[in-house]
Amino acid sequence: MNEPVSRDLDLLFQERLSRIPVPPRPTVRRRSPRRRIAAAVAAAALAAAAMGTGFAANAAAEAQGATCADLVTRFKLLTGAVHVVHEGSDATHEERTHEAINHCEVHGTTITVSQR
Amino acid sequence: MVSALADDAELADTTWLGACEAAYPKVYRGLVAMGATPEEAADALQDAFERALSVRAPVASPDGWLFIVALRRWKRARWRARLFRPLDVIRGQASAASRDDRIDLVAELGRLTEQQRTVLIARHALGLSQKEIGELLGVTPGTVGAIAYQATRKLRERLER
Repeated sequence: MNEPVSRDLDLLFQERLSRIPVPPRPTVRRRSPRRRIAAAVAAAALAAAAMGTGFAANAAAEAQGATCADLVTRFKLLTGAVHVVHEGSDATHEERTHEAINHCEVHGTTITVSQR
Repeated sequence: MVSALADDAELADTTWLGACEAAYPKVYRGLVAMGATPEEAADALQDAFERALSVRAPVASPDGWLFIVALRRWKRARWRARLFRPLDVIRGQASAASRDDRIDLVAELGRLTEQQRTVLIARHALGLSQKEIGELLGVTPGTVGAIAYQATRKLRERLER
C-alpha cells in the first residue's frame, strides 16, 4: 500500500514535541487521594446497608415469631417470599414473639413454627 | 530444554519491557499532545506499564501498543475525574489550567477530533504505519489513510495561516 510521505510534518512533530519535558518514569503510581476517599465512602455505605438489612431481617423474623429461622429464611421473611404459620399453639402473638424455644420447618413458601 | 525455554521467555520479557521503556518519552509527549496534563500523562503511562508487565505475548509495535493502552487509561481517568469536577472548581484547581498551550502544534491538534489527533500523533510522533495504526485502533488501513488525509489537510490549513 502506498502511504503519503509527509516528512515536513514528521519534522514539525518531532521539533515541537521535543520541547515537552519528559519527567523520569515513576516507579510507584501516584494515587489520587480522591479515589481513596471515594472507595472508603462506598465501602462504608455498603457496610451500613448490609448491617441495616441484617437488622431488618432479624426484626421481621422476630415480629412474626420465627426467631428459630435461619439467616436465608429471615431474608425471605423480610422480602415476603415466605410467610409464617404457627402450629399447635393457642398462644397470643406477643407470647409467640417472646417464645425462645420454638421450631421452624420450611415447606415451600411456608414456615411452620411449632412450640416445643 | 526447559531451561532454554525459560531463558527465551525471560529474554523476550526483557526485550519487550526494554522496548516499552525506550518508547516512554515518545508516548509521553504523544499523550501531552493529545491534551493530557503532565500528571495525567505520567499516571496513564504508569498504568500502561503495569499492563505491559502482565502481557505475556509481546506485540509487534511496543510504541503503538503503549500509546493506545495509555490513551485508553487516560480517557478512563478523565471520565472518572469528571465526577469530581465540581470539587476542582470549588478548590480552583481546574485541570485545564496546567496544560501547555504555549506549543502551537499542541493547540492546533486540540482543535481536531480525538480520532484525527490519535492518528496524526501515532503517525508522525510515534512513526507507526497506517497498517499498524489500523490494527491498534481496530479499523482498516484505508480508513486510517482517509482520517490522516483529512486531519493533515486541516492541520496544514491552520498552521500555514
